[in-house]
Amino acid sequence: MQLILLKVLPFAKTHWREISIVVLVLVVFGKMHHNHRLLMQTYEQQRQALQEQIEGLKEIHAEELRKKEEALDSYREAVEELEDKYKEEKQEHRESIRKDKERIKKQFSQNKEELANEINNVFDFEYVSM
Amino acid sequence: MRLITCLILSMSLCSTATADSTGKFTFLGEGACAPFEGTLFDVDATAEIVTLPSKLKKDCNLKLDFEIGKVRADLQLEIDNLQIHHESMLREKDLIIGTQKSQIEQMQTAIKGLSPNNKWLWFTGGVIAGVAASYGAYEVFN
Repeated sequence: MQLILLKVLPFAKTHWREISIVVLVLVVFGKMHHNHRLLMQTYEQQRQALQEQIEGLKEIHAEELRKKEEALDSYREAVEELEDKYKEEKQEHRESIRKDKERIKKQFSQNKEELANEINNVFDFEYVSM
Repeated sequence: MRLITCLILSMSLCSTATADSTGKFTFLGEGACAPFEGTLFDVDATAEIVTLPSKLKKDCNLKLDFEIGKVRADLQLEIDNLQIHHESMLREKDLIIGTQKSQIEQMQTAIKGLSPNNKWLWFTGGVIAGVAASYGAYEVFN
């Protein structure tokens, strides 16, 4: 230990300027390296945040498409129900008209006065009895 | 005699019809005399004609209800799509704002960690370091 100190100290005393330069260069290099590492870290964080944002946007878009598909299905169901109801009501109406015609034919043979009144009510035509 | 009565009745009815312009109808048996010139409908045609107004009205109402229902469904779909898109846009906005906030925070942290931008200090340090390096090199090579 003493031997090392005896050799190093005179060397340091003699070459203190060179040692200072080396230390200074090392400090500057260390600081630059630290800054670079910090920048790289920030870049990586930014990249990760943007990647997460892209994933989030993709997820939102997929959910939007899914919801729109559901809305379209519900629309199709509603239109189908409407069409079924329309057909059913039309059929009921046809049946009702058919019954009315039967009734009118019956009235024609059994109660002409009543039929005449009905025609008068519907068309406001004047009935002329024979 | 019967023919004359029919003709007189027919003429009187025709004049009434012209006066108040309402329609007339009658039921004629086979070979019967008509009180006025007109159209004779058989029972099927009569039933058809009598039921026609209510049939048309009901048909129209049914069609109208159907078409209104379809338009309502179309508009509901449009509203649903717009609401879905609106919700998505809000979520996208929140996501983007969140990301940008975190980016700004990261940048601020990074800037704090970097060397301060003291240009005069750096200039002075650089001059001293340059002189020292030149002197050191001189000493080393001499």
